[in-house]
Amino acid sequence: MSLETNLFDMWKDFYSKSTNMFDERITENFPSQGIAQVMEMNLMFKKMIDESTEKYLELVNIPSRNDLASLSSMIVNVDAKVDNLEELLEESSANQPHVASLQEEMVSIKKDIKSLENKVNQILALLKASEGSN
Amino acid sequence: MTKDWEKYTNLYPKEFQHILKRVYRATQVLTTDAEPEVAPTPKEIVWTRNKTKLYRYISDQPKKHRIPLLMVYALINKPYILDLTKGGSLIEYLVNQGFDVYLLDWGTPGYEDRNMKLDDFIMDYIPRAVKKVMRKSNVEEVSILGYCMGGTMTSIFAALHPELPIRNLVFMTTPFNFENSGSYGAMLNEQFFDLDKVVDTLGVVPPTMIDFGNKLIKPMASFYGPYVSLVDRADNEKFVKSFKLLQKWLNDGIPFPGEAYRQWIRDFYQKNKLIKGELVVSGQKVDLKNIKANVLNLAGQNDIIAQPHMVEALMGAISSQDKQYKNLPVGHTSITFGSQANKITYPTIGNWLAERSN
Repeated sequence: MSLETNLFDMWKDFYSKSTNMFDERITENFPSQGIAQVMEMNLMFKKMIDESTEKYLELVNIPSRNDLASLSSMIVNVDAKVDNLEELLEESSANQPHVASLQEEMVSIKKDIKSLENKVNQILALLKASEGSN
Repeated sequence: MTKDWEKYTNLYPKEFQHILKRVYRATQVLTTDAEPEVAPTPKEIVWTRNKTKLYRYISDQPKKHRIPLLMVYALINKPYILDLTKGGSLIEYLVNQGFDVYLLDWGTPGYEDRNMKLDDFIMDYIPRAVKKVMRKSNVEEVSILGYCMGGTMTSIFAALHPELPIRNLVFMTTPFNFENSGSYGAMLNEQFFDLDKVVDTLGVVPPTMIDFGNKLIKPMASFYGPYVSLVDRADNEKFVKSFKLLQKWLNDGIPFPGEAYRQWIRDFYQKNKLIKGELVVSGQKVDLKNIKANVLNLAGQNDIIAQPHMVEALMGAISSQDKQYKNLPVGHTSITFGSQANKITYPTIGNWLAERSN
């Protein structure tokens, strides 16, 4: 066993065991309250900075993050409307084949009616001819 | 290695020289090495809305399977974990298997998106993406794969849209039952965690806060573990490459829209409404029983984020006839990237989908 193996592996072994122990302890007794308190302090500080920055920017007539976000929201809304229109267009163009098939059907119905009309005309002509002969 | 460092290293006994070389390489990795390239699979954008993009992956391979696959990612971190590097990419694997693959990337939300709710993503964006996929691939059915929170959103979408032709649903480490969520539950305990103050103060929840929360689950292993491993294995270039890729992804988080965060923490982690059948999205109650598609539900045995019991809960809540639950020997990230993912996850998903995609 080399010197390197001894020292580094010993340290790694110690590290890994102590790490596991620490992590297990955290899992068993998670410091929810302590973490929440630290978070709350940070949030308080952030809120204070945000509010004073907002007031300062208003004072010196510079748009704030909220102003820019409002503008961005408007663009996002326009984008959504364009997308809705695109969807409508796509749907109507997807329905185009139906219109074409409807047209085809209409043409064939017209043809059928025409041939029926011809047949009725022929029958009428025959009937008239038979009436005339009687 | 610079000459000075080499001279310095040579002063030490040979046994120590290996350690010093590894320390030197580790320092290089952390300070001067270039960031690795990610998302190598070629793709085209087929639809955008706000920051969301729908990608279709391009391949010269013939499509062997008729039904396309839409991947829905979470609102945490970026989706390129699904296409991290050549030879380590679920998307590349599925494309090479002849699937028509799409990915829904939520993009990077800005402060203007702070009022976006889960309702918007689930009722506006996902249905639109599904329609786009079907139209683009000219098919009448679709498969959807949801990863982590993306899976939870997919399940809600599927439950609220029984009229949409969803043939297959694949869930990867997706939490459905948030009871006994371990340290997360403790951290987000409503008795201490003032959710409204967080959302109202921050607007969008910064990625650093979410990452910090994730690391607190196993602090020592998460904060120091990767760097100890790096020093330990810096002479292994394959390991170094994986380390750089994963660190890039882990440190490349995105902000979480505030209102969606409020819903995610309150309705899921604090009240566990989904599995209890109490969740309301866009005024409609979410009943998972409405899910009738074929389901493959994958959990990771070592996953501390979506623990197996949180994932398995779906199986008793849906009406699907063809449903499978698998608890794979992987973790929350190693289910998509790493040797186990290549060996187990990719073929499991590929084979299951192949049998149900024609």
